[in-house]
Amino acid sequence: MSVNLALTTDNTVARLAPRPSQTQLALDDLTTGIKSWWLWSTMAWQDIRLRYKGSMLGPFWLTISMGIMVTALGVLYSAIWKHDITDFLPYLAIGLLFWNLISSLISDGTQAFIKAEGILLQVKMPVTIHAMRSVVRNLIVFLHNCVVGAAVLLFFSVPQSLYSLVSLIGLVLILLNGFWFTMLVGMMCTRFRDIGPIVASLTQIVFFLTPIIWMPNSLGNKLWVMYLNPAYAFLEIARGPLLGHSIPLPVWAMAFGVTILGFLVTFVFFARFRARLPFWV
Amino acid sequence: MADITLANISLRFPLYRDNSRSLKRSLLSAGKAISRSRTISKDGSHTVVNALNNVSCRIEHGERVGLIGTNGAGKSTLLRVLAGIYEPTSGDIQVDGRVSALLNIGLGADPDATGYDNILLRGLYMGFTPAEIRKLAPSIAEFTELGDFLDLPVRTYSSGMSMRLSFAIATALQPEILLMDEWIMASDRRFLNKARDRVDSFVSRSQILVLASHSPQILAQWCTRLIWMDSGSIVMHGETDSVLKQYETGEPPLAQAS
Repeated sequence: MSVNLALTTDNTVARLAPRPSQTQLALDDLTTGIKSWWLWSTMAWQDIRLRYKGSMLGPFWLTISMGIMVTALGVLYSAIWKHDITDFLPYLAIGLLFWNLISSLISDGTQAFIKAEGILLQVKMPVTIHAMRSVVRNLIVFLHNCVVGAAVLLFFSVPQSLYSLVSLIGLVLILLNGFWFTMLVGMMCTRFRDIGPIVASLTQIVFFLTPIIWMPNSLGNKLWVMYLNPAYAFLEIARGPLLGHSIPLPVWAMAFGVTILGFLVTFVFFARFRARLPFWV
Repeated sequence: MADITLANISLRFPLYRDNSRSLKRSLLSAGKAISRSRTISKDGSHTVVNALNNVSCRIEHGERVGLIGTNGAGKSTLLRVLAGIYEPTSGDIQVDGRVSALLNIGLGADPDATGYDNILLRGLYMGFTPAEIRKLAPSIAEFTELGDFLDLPVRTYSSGMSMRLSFAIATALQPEILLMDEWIMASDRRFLNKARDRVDSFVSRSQILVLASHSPQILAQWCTRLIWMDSGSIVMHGETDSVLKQYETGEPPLAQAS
């Protein structure tokens, strides 16, 4: 029986199937990862449950703090910018609602794999699961915050039509981009720990450069500058339809362009570095 | 039938320390490679350890194999390769059978979640559906003997209690290949006996156990076959008694039959 333990190399090699290519392994990771919906959805809900354990309101705490922020900023800034509050407050509320989703997707994305260290080193699991977990967790928080958006739209009776549903395309685009961003930048942040803080300060800058607490028409004939801002594209596709704004073509082009390019770059990167992730955490 | 085959597995393990974790410093120091020793070398800004060198072996159903060697010999790394966590740098690996690995006492546990939550979560990590785990949860809970503690966060557990929980979860889900690192021995004798009974019944169903330890006593008790590792290579393999005898002398065998 002792021969069983170590066969000569030639015998063993002959029996083994060739290893699949890195591209194939990356594709397998993505497909099995996305198919395991029960896994990442349970993990995301568990995150929410643990984060708000012991507080009666749960994630609605965030909703309340957002409600307070929207009211305070809405009143203050409509006075500063001399905007009509019935225009400005719904604009601000919907803008912040989607911006909070974008910025939390970014900040959680940079941490997604670092926080999953315990799992990455103990269990074999598609890497994609950790990215899905982060995206779904933020979607759940977003859905809670939607209460504020809906309340403001009702209170100021902003007219809605079928066209408002275009906003859902904006939401889907934000989530898709959150996914590739988490896969790509999340992995980079695991390898180089100083990228996370850099991303965080850039996010802060983008917040001020994007029309959220100010209105784009303040730019006058320089509005085209905003067409170069990807954050504006995603935000406007999600926000505009709810406020009855039409979306200009360059905005659509930017949003779809960034999405497609992001997925391509991420896939190449992921296929190249997927197997290294356990060494990085 | 569970079955493991490794052919010429090598693993180069990059170690990232403070300096190489910084993007800025990595860019500044690009291209300064220095080679130092056989097992540890420099690749650009970070250190590379040759954690496994040309490891070939075959483990068949019903075997209990022990990995023996000093700290840093590559035992835990080999377990992680078997678990599919590390992909080898070169060589081929084929593992047939559902693997359950007890590599770390936490098993990827969420310290703030309760014992019951962890049964669910870790079952999910191992590829089971929520329904399957809910069916198994009572028997897992019973095996741990933790009682009401299962309603408390795992953070409050002693290491022996975490160990019981991890062991109960890892073995209850009927793996075909069980990989264990030596920390399992942290528990009390009574639970250890219970754990051994479970492993015995598990191995008798033609499953595989691979246990890493540097304790000859434990390996003599648990394993029928040993692989002695040093600096990432297999020094000797064979029956427990003969390998242990050689291991105690501290000298590698003169000629290892291939």
